[in-house]
Order: sequence, then structure tokens, then C-alpha cells
Amino acid sequence: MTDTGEASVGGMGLVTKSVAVLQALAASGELTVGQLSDATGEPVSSLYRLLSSLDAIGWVEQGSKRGKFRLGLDFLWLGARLEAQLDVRRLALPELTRLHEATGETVFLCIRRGMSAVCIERIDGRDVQIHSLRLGESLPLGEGVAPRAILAFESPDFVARYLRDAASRAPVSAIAPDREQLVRLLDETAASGVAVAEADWVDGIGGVGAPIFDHKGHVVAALSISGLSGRLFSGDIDVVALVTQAARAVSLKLGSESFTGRVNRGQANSAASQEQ
Amino acid sequence: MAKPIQLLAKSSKLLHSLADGGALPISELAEELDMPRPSVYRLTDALRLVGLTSTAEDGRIQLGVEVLHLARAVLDTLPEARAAQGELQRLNRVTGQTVYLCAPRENTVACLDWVRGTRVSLLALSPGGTLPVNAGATSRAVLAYSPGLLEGLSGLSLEKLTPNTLTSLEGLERDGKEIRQRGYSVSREDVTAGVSALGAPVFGPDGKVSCAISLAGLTDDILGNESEYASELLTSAGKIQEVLKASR
Repeated sequence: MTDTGEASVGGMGLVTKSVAVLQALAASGELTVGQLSDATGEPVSSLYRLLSSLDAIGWVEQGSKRGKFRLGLDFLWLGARLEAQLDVRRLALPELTRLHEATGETVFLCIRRGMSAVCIERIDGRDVQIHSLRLGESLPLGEGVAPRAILAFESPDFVARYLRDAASRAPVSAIAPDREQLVRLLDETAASGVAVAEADWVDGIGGVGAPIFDHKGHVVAALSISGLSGRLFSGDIDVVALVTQAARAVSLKLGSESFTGRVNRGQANSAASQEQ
Repeated sequence: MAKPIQLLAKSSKLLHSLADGGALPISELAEELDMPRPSVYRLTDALRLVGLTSTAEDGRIQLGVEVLHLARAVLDTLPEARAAQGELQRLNRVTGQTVYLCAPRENTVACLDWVRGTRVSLLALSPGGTLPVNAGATSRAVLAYSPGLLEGLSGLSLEKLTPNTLTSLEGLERDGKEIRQRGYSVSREDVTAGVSALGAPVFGPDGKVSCAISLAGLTDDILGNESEYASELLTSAGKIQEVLKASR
């Protein structure tokens, strides 16, 4: 195992070695010292010393069988606290501001509450007022690009439940007169990763919404932009790309992609159309 | 080079400071860790390189998201946690109360996982945290079925968290007998005033207590529904046990 520049200064290589042990355990579950040696390239003798230190601070613990080690419960403690600190609104605000400044249009951040999406942040457009989805207001998940970006990445069970509920309404949503059309829109959104509406809720108003994922790959919010369709889609700016990048930047801050490069991504919901 | 244990102990302390305080400036970390600032810079750099910390936009240090992945990996590794996940969700859905999964660790019972209730936030126990074996529904369920653990307590002074906490060996022995008769434990405000819980043990394939689950909430909500909640709890404990047996 090689120390990376800075990290080796003043014995900091120890931190790097420790984390290599943690990552090997995270990838494989329980391992013996020999297996850890194979995985990290550290000699067994130095691993024994390291493991006893890591055990003492709760980073590893004895496994279910003698001689095996696994990750320690301290990470449950740290993880639960970090999860509580990660506030999607605070993390998304710089991205929303950037998006607003680049386009001059109205931008939104929505989270799901039951069968609706609630707007928890919004920055108004410079010269077009969007009347729907004010701060704290909600829309059914089948309507509007941000709600749809959330719904398309929810679990197949959840989508099926929403469709069952929505089926009792006519029209099913403002954008889809019937269930088949809504399912098709959800499938499109799931496949492309972004919800695009040239004219969604109100004539002439269009929007783009993209999902935000947490470290478990669950959709936790969506970020969107709305404005006059003609201007939104005909300018020099690629709003679809901008919105997608902004949502991805927030997902990254929430840990959607692990440091070791594992990628967690919401399961695209082709199941929406299977569940008919 | 710093002694391994010391540098790692400082790393652990640093992560705990960030867990408790959120993002912190280097100056504050230097004070909490009792380390000169340049050393704190080096340590946070090393931790940042491996994802355990990150730097906020204003320069303060915060926990890195790798911590979330390691937490997730802990749950994936523990057979009890994997086996219990679905039942914890079910119990929460059926009762609306906070559901805990705890397992014995040395002389304590540690919380592995939970599903939070809709009515109150319980602060006394959360994942990674521990309770003494004499307090709380899961602790007492574990203790009632772990004779060796009770013997090990003789001579130790037991922590009294509230006036209701059992601290005498005789009291705990009697409690254990009642639990074995009933099949579940009743924790009446012995961890937090106003909060009660019911707990049931889950046995591993070797016949020993592997973990325990509990339903916790406001005293009236829990004890007012004792028979219904206890039967749900025992159903879940049985199912988790089956999964543990099958996965062996």
C-alpha cells in the first residue's frame, strides 16, 4: 500500500492504512487478519497492532467467529449524526442560486410529503412571475416537473399506490388526462433522469426538474426551473443540462456517490408501466 | 511518529466533535483535541483524503459522507440488522411508535438500528449509542436470558438513570423471572421520565440471545396498548429469529 503525499507526513499514513482496513471490511463484511492483509497489502504483524487500536476506538469489532473482524458500531453513531446534519435545503441553496443567476428564471426545491411534493425553497424569476408552487405549497406528485422527477424515482410499490389513488380522479393530472399517459411520462422521466415539460401546468409555461438522491440511492428531493417555454428552451442555455448538473451536485453533497467510487442511484421505474 | 493509538484516538475524537457540533473551525478543533493547529490541519487533511471529513464552503471542517457509507456497511454486515430490517418497518407502520434493534456488546446493550416514531422524538438511544444492561426494554430482555451477564454484574455499581431504574441484583433477578414468564420486558420510565417501552429477545441459531427489539414511546401510548403491542413484538421477534436461522 502506498501513502499518498501529504497523508504520509508525520505518521498520517496510519489514517490512510486504517481506512484501507475499513474499506476492505465494508466491501467484504467479516474478514480474518490474513484476508485483511491480502486486501490491503499490509503485513499481518502490523495489522494486529492496528486492529487492536481500531477496536479500542470502536472502528472495528470482533466478528461472529473468533479471529474475524468487522466494522465497528461507532460508524452507526457518526452516520446517524451526519444524516441529521445534512439538510437538503441548505445544501441545495448555492445550486439553486447558481441556476437562477445563469438563467434568470424561477427555480424550486421540492421534497415529498405523502402523495404530494412540497416546495421548500424557491427563487423568483427576474421578469416572469410563476404563480403556482409558492413556498410551502404542494402539488400532487403527478403534476409539475419537480413532483414528477420525485415520483419517477420512487419505489415501484409507491408508484403503483400513487397510480391507484390518482386513477380515481379525472383527469388523472393536469398534464396527463389518463393513467396511461402519466405512466408514459414517468417512464420517460425515469429513463432520461430528468422531467421535461414544454408546457406543463399553465399554457406557455414550461419547466425542467431533476431528482436529488441520498447516500442510499433514495430520491429525497427534486430541483426544478420554470419559465416561459419559448424562452426556456430556445435560448443559448441548455437548461436540461444545467438542472441535471445542479441536482447531481446536491446529490453528491448528500453522499450519493461513495468516496470509493461506488455509485448509488435510484432504481429507474420501468415498474411503473409493469404495474398496470 | 505519534503512537498509533494516540493518533487514531485523536481521529476518533475529532470525528465525534464534528458529529456533536456539526461543522467546526480548525481553531475550535485544536482546542477540543488539545493539539497545535498545524497538527490539526495535517490530521484533517489526512481524514479528508479518505473521505471521513470534508471542508465546508466557509472553510470549517465537517464529517465526510464516507461516514454514511461505513454506517450503511455496518448494518449490511450484521446478520441481526439484515434480518430485522423489514420487521422494524412493519412494527413502526402498525404502531406508529419508535422501534429499536439492540444487541449486547460487552457490558452494555448497543442500538444497531431504529425506525423513528411519528409522535415523539426519543433522544436517549439512537444507532451506535448504548444503554447499561439494567435499564431499558431491550437491555432487560437481553439480561433476562443471559445468565452469565447477570452474574458478571455482581459487585459492579449499576447506573440509576431515573428513580425507576433497577439497580439491585435481586431486583433484576426478579425482573428477569417476570420477563421469562411473560415473554417480553416492560420498561416503565426507567431510562427517560415519561417514556416507556416493551422489549422482546431474539435468539440466534446457537440458542443464545442475539439481539432484542423494542417498541418505545410515551408511557400512556405504550402501556395503554400493552397486549396488542406485545403480541406484535413477539410475532416480529419470531420472524427475525426464523430469518437468522435460515441465513446461517
